[in-house]
Amino acid sequence: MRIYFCSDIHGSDKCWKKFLSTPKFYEADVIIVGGDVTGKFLVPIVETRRGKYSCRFNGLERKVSAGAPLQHLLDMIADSGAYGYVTTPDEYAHHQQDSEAVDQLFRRLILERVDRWIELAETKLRGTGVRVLVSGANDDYFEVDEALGRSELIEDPNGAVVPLGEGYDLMGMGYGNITPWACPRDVPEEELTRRIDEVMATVDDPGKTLMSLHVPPFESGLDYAPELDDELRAVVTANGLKMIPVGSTATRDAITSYRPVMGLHGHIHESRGVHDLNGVPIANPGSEYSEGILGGVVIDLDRRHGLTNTTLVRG
Amino acid sequence: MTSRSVSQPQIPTQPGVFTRASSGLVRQVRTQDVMFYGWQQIALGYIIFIVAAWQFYPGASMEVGVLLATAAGILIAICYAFLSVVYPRSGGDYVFMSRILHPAAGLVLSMSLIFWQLFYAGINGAFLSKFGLAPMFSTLGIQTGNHSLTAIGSWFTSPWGLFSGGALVIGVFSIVQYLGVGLYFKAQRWASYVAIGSLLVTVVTLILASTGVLSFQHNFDVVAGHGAYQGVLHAAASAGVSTHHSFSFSQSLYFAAWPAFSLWFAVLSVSFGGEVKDGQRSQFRGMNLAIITMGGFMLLLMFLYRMAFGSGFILASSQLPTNKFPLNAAPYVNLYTGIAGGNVVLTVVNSLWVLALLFFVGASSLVASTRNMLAWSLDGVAPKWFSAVSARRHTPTWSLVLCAVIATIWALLYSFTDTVLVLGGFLGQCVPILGVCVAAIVFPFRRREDFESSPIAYRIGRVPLITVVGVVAAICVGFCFYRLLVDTNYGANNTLSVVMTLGAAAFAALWFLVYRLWNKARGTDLNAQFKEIPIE
Repeated sequence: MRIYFCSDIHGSDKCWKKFLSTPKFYEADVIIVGGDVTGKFLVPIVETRRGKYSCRFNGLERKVSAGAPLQHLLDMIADSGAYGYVTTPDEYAHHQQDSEAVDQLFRRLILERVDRWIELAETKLRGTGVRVLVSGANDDYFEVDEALGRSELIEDPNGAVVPLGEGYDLMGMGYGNITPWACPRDVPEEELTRRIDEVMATVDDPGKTLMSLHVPPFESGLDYAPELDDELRAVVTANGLKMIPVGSTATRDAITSYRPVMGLHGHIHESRGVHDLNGVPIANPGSEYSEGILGGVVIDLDRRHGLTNTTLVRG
Repeated sequence: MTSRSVSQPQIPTQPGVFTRASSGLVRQVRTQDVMFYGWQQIALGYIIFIVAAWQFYPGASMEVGVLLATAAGILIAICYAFLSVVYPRSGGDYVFMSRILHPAAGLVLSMSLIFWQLFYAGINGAFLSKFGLAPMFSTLGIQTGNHSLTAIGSWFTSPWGLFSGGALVIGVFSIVQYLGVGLYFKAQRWASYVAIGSLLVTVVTLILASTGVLSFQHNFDVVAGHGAYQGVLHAAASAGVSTHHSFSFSQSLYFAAWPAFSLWFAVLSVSFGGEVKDGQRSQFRGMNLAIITMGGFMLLLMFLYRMAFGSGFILASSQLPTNKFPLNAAPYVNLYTGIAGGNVVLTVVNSLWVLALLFFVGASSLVASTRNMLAWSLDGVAPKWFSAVSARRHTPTWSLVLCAVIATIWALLYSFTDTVLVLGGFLGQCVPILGVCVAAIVFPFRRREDFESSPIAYRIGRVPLITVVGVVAAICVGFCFYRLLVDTNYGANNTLSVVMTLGAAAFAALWFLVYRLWNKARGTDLNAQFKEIPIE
């Protein structure tokens, strides 16, 4: 059985489309997104005069006309993971003053994209025999889980155990430890431990389970991120960015105590790699979603030989 | 358009865009941080041997040479900064050369750069001995009449003295990087403040010497004997050394390779990244400011050196045989600065910036090398142990050991043989810089969609700006490479340097090929690891 695992695609249309192509490209039987499927940016495209639009995207002022150029701009924004929306100067001015309205807009656009992604997946992969597992994680609103739950194709392993076949299971945990950004599913380490333990209590054999824990284990080599100052700015020394471990102790304890087949993680985009934590292989495919690059791990599992291959790929 | 973030007021955003509470949103690194890092890489202390090389270019204006190197450095920095905006993740030029050119090209060019970075990791320590410690102790010895100090100064130019500097830098920074001590960062920051203070004192000393408040000629005669200053000029004239040439632009252009060797390396901040992609202007500003400010400082120092000591004296003394020079020391400008100051305290203070900058630049080379090795390993083009991180220290132990061994070999070769010279590695370093320029040229055509959606989609008419800048920068780097190859004065075209320049690239290409075959035998197609997934 071949598994393709990726994470943190953060709303990128391009990455989602690539993800749906992975069964063919990597000959994978099971494909998994380990959380953080939704984006972080809204790009207002303001109609400055009839049929003429303007926005600031990726640091540049972009001016387009209605029709194909506008659609091209919207596609470009969607490929980067952001949500473009066409608006009027008045509505844009209103959004600038009303954070509640922006929050509602975020939720609407995020769910619209998730629904569209589900539709794309079902069109492309239904009937192929490929298993598609997608879960929300700390950056995703809870409504995303509800949307995923409505799909007939996609399985959501978040907070659950999903049999993979050949005697292996996969458990998922999208909650993460506290971050400086106060994300929807940030919880204290103790609560994270409790949640992981609750799911693992339903597992038959931890040694035959893959643990998809969104946040990598603390001090595992997969959790190095730039140290941030009080303004959320990376600390730079004369030797470059100062990198520090920011993973979860709850995740670390879970991996070392349950000793699963493998730990699958995401969350820290900069810390791509496959490592070993007390004899347990752990992987973080990293993320370069805004560049439309899909980082992943190809995993080969065999009933007889167990884990036979873990290869980091960048597609 | 302006905007602000919602939900969490402190969440970083960019103009015209709304953000929400989600992890990983960090602000750009500060412009001054990038600039500060660039200053470290530029290592202004190199000016000691850059001025010493002036003698080889009759008619050259050092200041014009610096201006030319600065202008070319800005173009190169634009290429690096623009590409780092498109590919902002940490990893630097290896990442974007792999994406834009080819994974094999990325590895070959990155390996070449690292190979030569390690060359300088070791040799910078030897530079510390030769251009920092030796002149300082010699000056102190001369000023105090203490022969032991003069002897220590001489020892630092001996093979063991040079190697000791190399071993010190490699040893200290390998241990520091392994231990990851936080105290080190504080020490380094304080050392930088001391360096800045020391540099300002040097500037003041030179201004006083240029304006006659301090008399270099008088002070030189005091320590070297009555009439020694004029003696140097006469001795040079008697030896047929001409110190008066009319200005030559072509010689200034050839000389520019020397300051380029220092100024161009501000681009190494390229490995900093961030997710708020508002053009990442801090990279653009920081790199260029580092080049411009240090270029300005270099230009100012050169001007003041000439004014304080006399152009004729600098040229004459650097071309005299050792036995004709009246002091038991090498005729470097920091020796003269110490003598101009006229007292031992000023000599020490004036030496600190040279010592600090030459000491710390070696550390950056080691850090950059181990980070790149980590990236190769993760991409499957290097053994897994390259990315093995110590469970206790969280540092890439084996990569570090390998880097230290390679750097030590280079330090040994530099110290005990004549096979390696100061700019010996610059030829090899020009190759990856040229690779980045080529990547800049072709980027809008090979990655059209990425270019269109990027923050650097500027055009001059219909031609992408990055392509135009890339072409001009490539011409500058290509010219520098050509001069290094044909002009023996740089010391970069000796057999070892040329062979190793070609050898490093050939070795990397072979490495990629072997790894590809080895992975294929294990059932992993390396091509598929990098190949973009087609969207169907």
